[in-house]
Amino acid sequence: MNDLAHWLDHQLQESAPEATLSRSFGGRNVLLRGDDFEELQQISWALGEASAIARKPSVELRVLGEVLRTAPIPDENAVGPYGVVLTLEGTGWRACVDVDEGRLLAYHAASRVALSAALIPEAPRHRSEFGRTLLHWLATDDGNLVVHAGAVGRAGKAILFIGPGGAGKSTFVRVAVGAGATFLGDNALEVSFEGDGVATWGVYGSLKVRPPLVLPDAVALGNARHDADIGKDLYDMAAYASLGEPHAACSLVALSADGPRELTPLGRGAALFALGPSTMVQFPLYGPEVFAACGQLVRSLDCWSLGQLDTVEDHGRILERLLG
Amino acid sequence: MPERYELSAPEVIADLIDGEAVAIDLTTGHYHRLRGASAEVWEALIRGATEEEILASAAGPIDPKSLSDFVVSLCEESLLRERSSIDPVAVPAWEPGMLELESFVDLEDILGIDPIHEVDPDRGWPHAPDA
Repeated sequence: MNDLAHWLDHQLQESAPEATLSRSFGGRNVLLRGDDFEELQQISWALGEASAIARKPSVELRVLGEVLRTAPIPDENAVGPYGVVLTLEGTGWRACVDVDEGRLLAYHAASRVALSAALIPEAPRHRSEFGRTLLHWLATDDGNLVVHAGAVGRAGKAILFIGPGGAGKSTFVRVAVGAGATFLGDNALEVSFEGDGVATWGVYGSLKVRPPLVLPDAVALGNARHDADIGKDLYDMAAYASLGEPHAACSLVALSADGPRELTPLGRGAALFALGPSTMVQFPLYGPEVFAACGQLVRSLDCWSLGQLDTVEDHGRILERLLG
Repeated sequence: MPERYELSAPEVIADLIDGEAVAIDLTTGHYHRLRGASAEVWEALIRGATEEEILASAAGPIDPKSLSDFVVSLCEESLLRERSSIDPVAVPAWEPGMLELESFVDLEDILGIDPIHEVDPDRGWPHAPDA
C-alpha cells in the first residue's frame, strides 16, 4: 500500500474533530465535522444551504487542518486527469489533490467518510469544486446521477429543465417557485432510478440569476446578495426548497433561446444530446457511467422542447400543463 | 479501408435512442450527433455490417460514394475501428437520406481539461482559462 493510503488510514482512525454541522446533500444526510465551527459554516455554504436534519448521516465529511502538511501528497506524475491520485487504486480510497495549492479531498467508500483539507484558505466557491466532486462520487456509488438541470416540483411530481447557460433554466425555476412550486434546484440535481421511475433530489439551496431580472414582474423571492465574481445574484431558497425529500420526475424540458414558443415533443435522442455532454462537463469523472445514466434518465421521461417565453402567465400555463 | 467496424470503446461512448445517436470521444472532447439515415447506418456499422451489406439493405437508391464518404468521416473522427470478426450482419431495411456526422468541438476545452489544474483561477470549474 502506498504512503498516501497509509496516511489517509491513519487520519481515518485518529481524526476526531469537535464541531459538527449537519446538511442535506442530495438524497442523503451529511455530517460535517471539524475543529473550527466558522470553517464548517464556510464549507456548508459551499455545499449548499439546507436545513439541518437529525437522521443518522449517510456520509461524514471531516475537515482537516494543518495536519495536511504531513500528508505525502504525490508529485504531478502520480496525478491523472481531474487531479485524481492514480496510485490509490485498490486501496479503498479515492482522492483528488491540487498539488500546487495543497488541497485534498479523499473518500473512503467502505466507511463513507470523506476527508477534506486545504493549506491555503479558499473562497467558498473554490471549496465547492471539491464539494461537487464528493457529491458526484456519492451519487455514482449509490447508482444515482447528478445532472446539469434545474427543477421544480408540486404534489410530489417534478419537471426538469435542461439547456445551456442563458437558456432560461433559472428564470423558469424562479417564476415557477414564485407561483407556488417547490424549489429543487436551478443548475444541479441528483436523480435516482427506481424501477421505471426517476426520483429527483434537490442538492443546493440557492438560486443564481444574472441581473437584470428577466420577467421582473414575477413574484419576488426575497432579497438576493450579489456575487461579483460570477456576476450573479444569489437567492437563499431554503424557504421554498425541499432538499431532503424526493419528487417523482415526470417531464424533461429542453430550453433554448430559439426553441418553439409552445411545448413541442422532443425525441429522446435529442434530449440526450442536450443533456449528456453538458452534464459530463459539469460533473467530471465517470464519463461513461454518467452518459449511460443520462440515457436511462431521458428514456424514463416525457421530453419536450421549449423556447423562451415572454410573460409570467405563459410560464404558468406550461407549469399547469406539466404538473397540473 | 477495413471491411467491418466497431465502436472505438472505451475512448468513445455512444447511445442511440428514438432514431438519434450521440457519440462522445472522451480523449478529444468532441461530441457528435447522428440523425435519420445517418443514425441507422451508424447503428449498422457499429454492429459490424459492411458497406456492401448496408447498401444491400437500403430501401431506395443510394450513391455508394456518399456511404463511403460517411464512413471515412466517422473513421477520421476515430469513432470507429476495425473489427476482427468477419461474421455477416443482418441489416434491417433503411430509408436512404443525407448521411451526415454533426460534430461539435465547443466542449473540447472542458471535457479535455484537468478541472483541478487547468481551470480559470477566478471562476473555477467548468471554465477554462480565458474562456
